[in-house]
Amino acid sequence: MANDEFHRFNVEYTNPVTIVRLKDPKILDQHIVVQLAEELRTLVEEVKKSQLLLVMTEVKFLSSAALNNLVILNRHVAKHSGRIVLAELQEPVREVFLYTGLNRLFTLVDSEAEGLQAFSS
Amino acid sequence: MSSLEPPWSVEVKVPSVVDDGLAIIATILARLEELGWEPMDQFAVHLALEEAVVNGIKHGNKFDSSKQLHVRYHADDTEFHIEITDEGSGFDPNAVPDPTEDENLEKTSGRGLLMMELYMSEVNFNDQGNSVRMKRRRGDPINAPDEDDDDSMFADD
Repeated sequence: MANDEFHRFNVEYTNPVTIVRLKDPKILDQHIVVQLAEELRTLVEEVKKSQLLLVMTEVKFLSSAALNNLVILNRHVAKHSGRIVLAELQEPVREVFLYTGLNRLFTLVDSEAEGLQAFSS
Repeated sequence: MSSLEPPWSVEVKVPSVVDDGLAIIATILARLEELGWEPMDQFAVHLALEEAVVNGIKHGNKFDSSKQLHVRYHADDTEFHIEITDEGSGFDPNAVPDPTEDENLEKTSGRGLLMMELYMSEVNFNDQGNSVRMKRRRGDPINAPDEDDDDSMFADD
């Protein structure tokens, strides 16, 4: 599936990891949260990609609805024996993951390169 | 709730439509920007308002177009106060499971409430649970939970 099929992120297919670069600085608005969740689900269920490296360089704001959708996506990915790794989180966003305990559910890494390595460990 | 009333400077009624909720959030954030509030403070207020307004419209008023959110707020150089009241039956915030517990990490409830508590200086619900008052002091740090701290709204008692 080409990049222009997705509005909320750019995607790069490597083997076996799919790199998903999120585009929105704010993932708070319900419309954006829902569309992002649908597009990520499409990537997992229809494009059959389950090793996902989410690159969050651009993301500055994240609501609990966005976090909840990541948790749901994690369940889908797990069903396909996959995994989600999050890379390049800005400090306020990293704090959200730390304080909500979600750093225990997701692997957080500093860079894309580190993220790619995480899948081989 | 505290008997000390903040000096409410704006009172509005917001229809139970997400876009209208987002519009009042945008208005408030623009006011904080005007007042020169730092990005971290704006981020904190933005997060908490998104949670509270969307919860009120979705869970409180259940998207019922005949119901409204009653919002009043005050912002100045040092403090931001807001009260958001929906027309629903309310809920018990103490009955919401702690989303940071291992057994709840994969659940999707309670995280919005936690975000409000983390990013605002004070969060208080009325007895009915359909009205929340929040306050943020400019420059306050995030209320990072202590690992051994049981004194949160998620405590069992």
